Amino acid sequence: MKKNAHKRQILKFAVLKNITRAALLVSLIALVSVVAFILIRGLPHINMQLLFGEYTSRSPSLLPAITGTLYIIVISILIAAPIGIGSAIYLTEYTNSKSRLIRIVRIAVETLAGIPSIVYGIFGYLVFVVALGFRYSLIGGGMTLAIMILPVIVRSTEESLLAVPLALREGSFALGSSKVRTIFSVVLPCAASGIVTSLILAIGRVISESAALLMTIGMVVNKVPENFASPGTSLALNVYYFGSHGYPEEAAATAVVLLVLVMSINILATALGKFFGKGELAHG
Amino acid sequence: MKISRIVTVMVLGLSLMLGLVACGGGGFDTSRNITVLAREDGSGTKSAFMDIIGLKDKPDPAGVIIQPSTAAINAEVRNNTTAIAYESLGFVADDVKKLSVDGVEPTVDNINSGSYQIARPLAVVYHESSLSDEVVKAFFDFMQSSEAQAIINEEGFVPVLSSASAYTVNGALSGTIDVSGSTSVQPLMIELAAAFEHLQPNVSVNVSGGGSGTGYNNAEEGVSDFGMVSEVFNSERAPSCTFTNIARDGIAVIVHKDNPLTSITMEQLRGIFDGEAGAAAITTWSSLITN
Amino acid sequence: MMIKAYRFIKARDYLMRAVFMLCAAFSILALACICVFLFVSGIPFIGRIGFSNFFGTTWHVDSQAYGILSMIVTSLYLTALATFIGVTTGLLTAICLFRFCPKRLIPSIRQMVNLLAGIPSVIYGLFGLIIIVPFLRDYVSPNSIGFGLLAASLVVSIMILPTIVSVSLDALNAVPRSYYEGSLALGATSEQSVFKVVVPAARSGILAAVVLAIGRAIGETMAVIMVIGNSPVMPHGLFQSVRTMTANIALGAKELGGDAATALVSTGVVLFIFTLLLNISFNLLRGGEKREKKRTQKTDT
Repeated sequence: MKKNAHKRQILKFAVLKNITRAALLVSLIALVSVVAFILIRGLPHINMQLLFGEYTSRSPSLLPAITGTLYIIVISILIAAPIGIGSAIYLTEYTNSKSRLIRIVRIAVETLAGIPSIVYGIFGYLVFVVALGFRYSLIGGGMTLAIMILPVIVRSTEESLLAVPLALREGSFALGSSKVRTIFSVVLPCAASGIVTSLILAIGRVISESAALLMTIGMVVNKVPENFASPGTSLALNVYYFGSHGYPEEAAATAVVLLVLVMSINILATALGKFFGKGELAHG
Repeated sequence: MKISRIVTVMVLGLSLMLGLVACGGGGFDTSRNITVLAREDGSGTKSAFMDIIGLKDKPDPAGVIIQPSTAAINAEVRNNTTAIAYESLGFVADDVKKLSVDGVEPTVDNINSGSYQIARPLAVVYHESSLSDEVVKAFFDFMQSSEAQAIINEEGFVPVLSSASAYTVNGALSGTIDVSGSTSVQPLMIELAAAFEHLQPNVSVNVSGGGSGTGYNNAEEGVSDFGMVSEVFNSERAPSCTFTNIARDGIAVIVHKDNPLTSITMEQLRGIFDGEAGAAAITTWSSLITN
Repeated sequence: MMIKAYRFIKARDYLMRAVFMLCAAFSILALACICVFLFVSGIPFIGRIGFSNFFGTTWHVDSQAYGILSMIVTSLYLTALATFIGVTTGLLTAICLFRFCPKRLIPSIRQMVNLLAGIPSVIYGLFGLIIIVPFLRDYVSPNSIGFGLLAASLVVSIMILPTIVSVSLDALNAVPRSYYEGSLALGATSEQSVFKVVVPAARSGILAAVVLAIGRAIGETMAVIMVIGNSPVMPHGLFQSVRTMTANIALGAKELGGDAATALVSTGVVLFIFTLLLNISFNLLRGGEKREKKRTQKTDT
């Protein structure tokens, strides 16, 4: 009786094991087919005109999107990197001071990380587009994304700062260095690779983002932006625009460009992490 | 071994998906439900269409598929045998079938004579002051020139100016003009822009879509020099702007090419597109096709 | 001289500390700003048009009906369905990768999954639009409508799959090996040990994966807007055009003005409150578990 139940349980789990294998297969097929289909549909339509040509409605070009994406990366990283790294330093190096503040900061960072990007989009629209009068502009979009990637930078920078051995700091203090000097000449150089990796991951997020930009930069797909204050578009936004405005081939081609870009950024981040022996940081 | 396994998995998955997608269907089954497509709120085509068929301010029927552009509507009707939709007549190509309404074919002549009723003006919306810019003014003049009227005619739209003079080229002109808005006006505007750029090689005209709502908003906020709208100008939506009609355009009711239906009545259209039709609602093709 | 230098260093220390503190405070400030701006523009509007209008079932801009109940319901259905499909497949995949698949394959699959986790959501949306929707329409749907909850759920579940696999695999790997070995030593089979010992031991990490999945599913916009059809009605089936809160915001973003635009902000407020509740309940749940120092939750949303 009991033995029978036992056998049945063993059998049940053996079946379950095979179900997990089926699940693995399903997952792989699903994910591989996404990439494969995008490549099959998009690759034949990639050409110089699409990438760098002049935009005409008959033969659209990604030049405005590429320029816009670069602008947005620059703006958001310039704003978010110093603030994010600064917060991470405060959270790790000054832990013994006001711990209450640190707890609130942690909660704020966690909460920011959980807010959907479309809500950032509304916020960016209300603040930058309307209240500050920037209208639809790359700078408004960049600032919105800066807030959005802040949690990414804070968290991964914090991790790489924590990975710096305490002994190094103590050694520096023992030699008479001040706290600031210790941070800048001992802790930060040691954590540099991790910080760079975190910034690369943040750039990946910026490139991938579309919903928040839809509300803030105007999706002007046909004009290369003149400066930070111009309205514009991004590669991810162009995938949506082309997809829903009767340019399916261009949409797939744009998706391929985006895919290659994001993949190479992730590979770069992983490689950097490995190179400096901190592979853990790369899985963001 | 490792690589061969991965490759096998990929090939299996791909061939499965490809095989399923590649097959096609045929024949028309009148027992199918009608798939109603509509444009988003803010679209000029939508408000004009609903207005003309007598459904002003009525909601869409439950479960319509909302598409954000004329091209997206066209793409879905082209591929979906059970679909019905409305779109700019100037946009309709051979890949979909346009229906006669109350026995009248949607043609430029019938719109001109007034016998095909579902038509609306296509207009540009702009700030009066922006015409002081000579490049903007030049394009504005061009849109009303005889060259433009010829293009309008050629593209399947109805010119609104009976007498127009030829456009005079100003060789010194250079600059950029931004036009955005209605996706119904967009294809026409692209042709006009191309012709204008041909006459004025140093001027570039950027045309982008978005919908009439975007046209109003962008013109009002000065984002674009001209906003395109595809309905009777509604001053509430761009209070500080003025407008000029550049053409008239029919709104065609379109179905898939395999659909045997050729004609539809206003009454039937109301049955299909009215969200509050109640018992008069038409939901299956068998109510329209009898044989 | 020495004292002067010392004072300078001391002052610099204080100054930099203040600067770092300001940086840290920025997150709080940003969060506060988001709350204030959203609530100040969104909440009074709900009061003005009436609670029953805003939480009604009719969204019809022309007649000032801004009811978003159907969109809330759709968002919840989509989240439930996508999370269910995604978590089930993802968790089983992670378990398989943890113990039941050839060791040689694991690193490459892991790397692939990590790479795929970074694919922009809009690409999944395009995949849905050009592949899944036509496929469902032509071969699966009983009414020739490919758009709808099923298409959106499939797209979103594929999208969240890599994250779930990655996070739950981390959680499984974080369980001390001795648990598994101990179970084996007691005579359990390998499968029993994994399902009865390791998986339950990793439940807080798996919970994190589920919460992450829910958060991404409820907040996803671009992938959803391309495949769900966007009709503002109550969902009654899988093959019916419906609209989520996120799609409502994005669809009207550039086309609407005046009251309708404010209604979009209010929709955003509701969505924001949902995600806040999700975060809070997760933190409470996690607080209820043993307070582990190790943060198993990853930063992806």
